[in-house]
Amino acid sequence: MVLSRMVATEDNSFWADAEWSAALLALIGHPLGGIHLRAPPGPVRDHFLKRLNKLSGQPQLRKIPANISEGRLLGGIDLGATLQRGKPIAQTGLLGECDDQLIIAAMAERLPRNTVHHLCSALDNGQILVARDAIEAQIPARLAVIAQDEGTESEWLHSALADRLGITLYMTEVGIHDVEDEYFMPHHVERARALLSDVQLTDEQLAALASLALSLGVNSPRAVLSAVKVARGCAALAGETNVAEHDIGRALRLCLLPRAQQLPEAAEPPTPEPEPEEPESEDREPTPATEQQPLDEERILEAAMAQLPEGLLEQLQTRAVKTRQSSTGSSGEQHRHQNRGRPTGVMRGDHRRGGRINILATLRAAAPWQRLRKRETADRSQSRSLEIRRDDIHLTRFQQHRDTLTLFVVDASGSAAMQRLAEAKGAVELLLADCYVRRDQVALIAFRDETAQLLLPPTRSLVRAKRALAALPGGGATPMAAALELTRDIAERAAKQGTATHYVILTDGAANVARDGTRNREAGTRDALEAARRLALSSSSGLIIDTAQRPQPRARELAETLIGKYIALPQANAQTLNKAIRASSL
Amino acid sequence: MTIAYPFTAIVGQDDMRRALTIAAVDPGIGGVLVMGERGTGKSTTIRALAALLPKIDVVRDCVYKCDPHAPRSELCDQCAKAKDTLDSATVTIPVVDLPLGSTEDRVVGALDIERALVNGEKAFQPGLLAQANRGFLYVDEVNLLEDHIVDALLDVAASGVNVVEREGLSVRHPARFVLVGSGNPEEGELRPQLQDRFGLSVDVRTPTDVATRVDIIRLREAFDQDRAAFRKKWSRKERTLRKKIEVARSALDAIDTPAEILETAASLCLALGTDGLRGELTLVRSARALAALEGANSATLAHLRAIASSVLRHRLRRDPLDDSSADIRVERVINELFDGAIENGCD
Repeated sequence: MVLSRMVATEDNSFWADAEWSAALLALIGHPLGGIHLRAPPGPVRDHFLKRLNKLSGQPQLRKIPANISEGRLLGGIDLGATLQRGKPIAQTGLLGECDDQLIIAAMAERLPRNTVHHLCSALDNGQILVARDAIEAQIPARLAVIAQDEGTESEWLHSALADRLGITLYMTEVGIHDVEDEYFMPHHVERARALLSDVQLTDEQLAALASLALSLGVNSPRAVLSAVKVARGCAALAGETNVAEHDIGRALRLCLLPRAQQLPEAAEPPTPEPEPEEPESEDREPTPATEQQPLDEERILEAAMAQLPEGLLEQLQTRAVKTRQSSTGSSGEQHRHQNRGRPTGVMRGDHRRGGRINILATLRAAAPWQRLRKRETADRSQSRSLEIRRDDIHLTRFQQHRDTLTLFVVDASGSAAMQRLAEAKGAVELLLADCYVRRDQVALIAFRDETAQLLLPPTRSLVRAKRALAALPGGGATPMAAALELTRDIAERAAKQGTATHYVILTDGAANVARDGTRNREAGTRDALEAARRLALSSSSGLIIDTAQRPQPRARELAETLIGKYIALPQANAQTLNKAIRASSL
Repeated sequence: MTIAYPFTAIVGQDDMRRALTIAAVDPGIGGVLVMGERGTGKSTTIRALAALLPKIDVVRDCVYKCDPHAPRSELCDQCAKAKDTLDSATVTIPVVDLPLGSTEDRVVGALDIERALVNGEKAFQPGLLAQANRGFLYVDEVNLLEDHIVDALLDVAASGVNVVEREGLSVRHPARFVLVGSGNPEEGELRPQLQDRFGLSVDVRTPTDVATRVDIIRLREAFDQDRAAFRKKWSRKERTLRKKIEVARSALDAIDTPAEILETAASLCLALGTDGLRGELTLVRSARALAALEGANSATLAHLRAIASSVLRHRLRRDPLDDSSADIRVERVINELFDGAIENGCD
């Protein structure tokens, strides 16, 4: 049967990608991992999910809410049944219930690190291991995940999970008018399923995908592995057993391009230059090209990129940087609710005054007394299966230790002079070592020329902090207002996650760029003070270190506006700076 | 039970595979820490190891898998008290997963509620540490493990005995296991105390040449398509390696340790300024285990050199900001020392 227009194999429109993705996931399922769906909520996303639902033949797509408790996700003890029957009864968690299904992870960019880990291990092993609440089990969980990522610029799906989801779809730039006809019907998927195991890639095609991945800077072999599966799936869906060039192209678009960390030089839209030489000459060596079907990577790449959404290529590089940064950006995030946090044990307590009852501890406390209590109450002819008294009730204890974020705001402008910058870097490194000992998070903002930049999002990884610092260039004007505003942004974001922020601003206070980007000392100072007033209203606390050779009143004025500490360090070196900051009981 | 990827079908990553096989030969080395970026096959390799582990003799029906040939003082209370000779059985060395999100009661063990509820008796329900006795305990994403679980692990890993004092229970049982951890260094640092517990440490990277990557993808894709058939295809290689490990385990005691090995190990540690004796001991033990694996009857400088970097790279006194220099320092000292030794005629 020829599918004619139904399966437009060479169509590279947005909706074609979406249709293919839905059909591919329905076809391949668990081995593909799933789809990283970066899209705002709206009709396009809903329509896509509806299509996915239809093609997969599942009655409904289950959803994992971002705030799911670990107990519900993995399973645990079923309290009602346990009390009733007098022995522990296990309850299957959501992951176990969804074995062999597609599930949606809602608000995936906000998933706590633990949830991400459990999803990853289900994707890796097709099963989850549970060891909690007196239960220990291996539960099959061959699921495929649709990670709904509604993230804004600064929030991204955790890269450990993103790495395991075969297909990446961006629907941020499209509206409902981009939605087109349905290409696939469930019976296409069924037919393709019968074909799939017969479809294989040639060695040359494998090598082409591997070298394309390398030239795009895609490091993880998982991405290439998904691309291979997608290429095979595409051929099967088209009713073929041979993988064609456009199948490779589709795999490239769905699996590799969205993960690109760099663009091969030829791919820049305005200059259709030939492919860079190195990857080509390298790959051709291990697999000599067969005559009959020359595979042109360059052409495939060009075709795959042909109809990418406007501006996507330009964004690739900046986005790549951001995706990488996000990998730890949110991992320090912890639950900071009244009754949440790190449970540090249990204690006897009165549940009526608030607090979470620890059922297991309560049962344990009550258990040894059951026989005795039954005997006591036997004459009163009460036959409760379990006697629990107030003394037995145990509450979970939480440690409320708050995370601290130390945010370094470094003036890298020309007025802060190069040698001062070097000293500032030295001091920041010493402070970083302190933060390491306390296991604080650190972040780094640098400001120069037009803007302030978050060089290092909050992280505990000292290695990355150090790298960001080493790459810090200097010179240019002083956009103080922008720096203070960014500081406030970061502090507020941290506060939402229950983290307290201390900022350390190293500057000479000579603001000379206004908020609108114009160079003007007066407007710059005015805007800086305005931004400082707003920052002072936030819950963070700070310290200003005046790094000017001859301290001027302007930095002091700034510190007063910020209600922060002020230290003038005209002759300081890294060591004295560090001492001063420590002394200010940071 | 899902079918695991065969250990022998892993492409490249020689350091990691060598370290894991050495740990399988001599459990006393102290475990392996594998750190590396995503998609380098860390957990695949470690899970693959389970299929290669030989069988051991255990006391029949003992939850702690006590060794029937060991002196009574090393056995669990029940086996130690037994009057007659212990009945023995053989089992494969266990590989126990410690999943992230485990609760402390499941790790160290706790009161068995079922028996408490039904019979009103106080009984101990052993946890993961008990299951891992004489086997491997694997922690994926070890750098994300919660602090109170790490605390429990640290003490047991050092003493080989798990002591439970909770809910009116007072239990001690043997818990000697090979700790294997893996993680991604970008996600956070490992607590220094925990890092010190590992005997060997390796850093894995994604291969960057196309040929190797094509090999990886081809094999993995074949595995994904038909796991049982793939496993079968590799069964001969797996068998050979398993046999090799078994032979090495029994030959281990007979391996010679020439004085120059001890001296070189000592001067390596001295040159790098590592704390304590653990570095030297692990150097010698690992060199012997490698010699046993290679069928040699004596440990040589070549064996020592091959494992030196894995043994030492995580033991340097650390400057938390110095990320890359540890490896470079170790490498430099090793090169100086060994090239010097060879020049001096110790070849």
